[in-house]
Amino acid sequence: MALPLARLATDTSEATILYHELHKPLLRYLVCLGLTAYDAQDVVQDAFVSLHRHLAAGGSQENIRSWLFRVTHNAARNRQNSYQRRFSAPLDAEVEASVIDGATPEQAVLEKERFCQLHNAVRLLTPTERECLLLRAGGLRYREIGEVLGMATSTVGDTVERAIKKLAEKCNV
Amino acid sequence: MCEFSKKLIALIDGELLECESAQLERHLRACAECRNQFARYKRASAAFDAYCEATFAAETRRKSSRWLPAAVAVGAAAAVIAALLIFTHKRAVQLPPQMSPPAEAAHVAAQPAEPAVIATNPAAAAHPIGSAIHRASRRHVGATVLCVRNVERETLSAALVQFSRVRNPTPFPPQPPIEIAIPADAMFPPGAVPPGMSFTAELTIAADGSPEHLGLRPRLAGFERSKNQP
Repeated sequence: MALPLARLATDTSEATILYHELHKPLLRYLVCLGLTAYDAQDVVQDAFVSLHRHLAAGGSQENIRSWLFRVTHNAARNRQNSYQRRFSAPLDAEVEASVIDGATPEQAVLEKERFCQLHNAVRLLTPTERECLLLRAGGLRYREIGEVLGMATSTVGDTVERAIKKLAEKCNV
Repeated sequence: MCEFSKKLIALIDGELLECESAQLERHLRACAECRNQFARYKRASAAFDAYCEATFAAETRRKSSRWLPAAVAVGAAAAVIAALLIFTHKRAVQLPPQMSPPAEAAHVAAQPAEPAVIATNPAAAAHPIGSAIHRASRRHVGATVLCVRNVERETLSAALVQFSRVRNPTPFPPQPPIEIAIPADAMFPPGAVPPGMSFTAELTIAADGSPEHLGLRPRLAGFERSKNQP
C-alpha cells in the first residue's frame, strides 16, 4: 500500500498518520511472535526513533512500511529469550479468557475448543510460515513480506499457500 | 485436483493480476470444488486473524492488570494516611485551651509509650497542641500518634521544642519515619507478589500537615543496599 511519505521527514502530521496506521499492527505482530506487551512497546518505539533518524539522515523513503516491519522483526529476533515463546506452550489461559469473553456457556466451550485446535495447528507451522501469516495478517503484501523476511515474492506466495492449507486441514474449517 | 486451486489464496489476498482474477472468478462460478476450497481457505484465514487479535488482546489485558494491584495498594495507602493526617490535624487545630485539663499530664505519664518530655511537662499538657497530642494518643494509641509525631517536624516543631527545653536542654529529637506494614496477601491475589518482596511507602508532609507526595517503592529481600554502598 502506498503511503504519503514524500514529506515525512519534514511534516510531522505525516509521521503521525504513519504512526497511527502502523502502531497497532506492529505491536500485534510482535506480541504474536512471543514478545510481552512491554517489550513490544519498547521495540516499536525504538523502530519509530530509528525511522526518524533514517529519514533525517536522508535515507530512502521507499517502502517505509516494510522497512518498519523489518526493523521490528530483527529487534524481536534479537530478544531470543522471548521470541516465539508464544508457540512453544499450550494455549494461554488469558487468550482463552479473551476468546470466550461475553459468550454463552455453550458458545464458550465451542470457541475454546476451536481456538485450542487453531493454536495447536499454528504451533505445527514452521517459523517462516508463521511469520509470513503474521505479516500477512498485519496487512502486508507478498512483496513487502518478502522484503521483511528477505525472500522472493513468489516464495512468499508459496509459503502462505502452504501455511493456509495446513491450517485449514488441521482445524477442519 | 483443479489447476486453478493453487491460485485461490492469492485471489483472497488480491495478489493476482486483474485478468487472472477475472478468469479465476469465472472459473469459481462453474467449479463447485474450487468454490468449496475457496470458502475453506477464507475461513482458515479469518480464524488466524481472530487468533492473532485474541492473543494481542490477552497480552494487552495482562499488561494493564499487572500493575493494577500495586496501583490499588498505593491508592489505599494514600487514602488511609491522608484520612489519618486530616483527622489529627483538625483535632490539633480545633481543641481550645480550656478543654485540656492539666490532670491529663498525669494520665499520659502512666503510658510508657509516650515521650517522657511531653508526659511529665505540665506546660505541654496545658498548651492546646500538647493537649491535642495527649488526647489523640490516649484515645487512638497507634497510628494516630505516629501521624502526630510526624507532623511535629513542620507545624508543631516550635511548640514542642519549647516544651522540651523546660526539662531537657536538647532540642526535640528527630522522629523515625512512619512505617505501615500491610500484608501482601491482603492486597494482591495469591502468587502475585514474589516471596521476599515488600513495598515501602514514602510520604512527604507539607508544612500545613497535608500529605504532599506519596511513592511506593518495591523491595526484594536480599537485595537491599548496604550502608557502605554509595
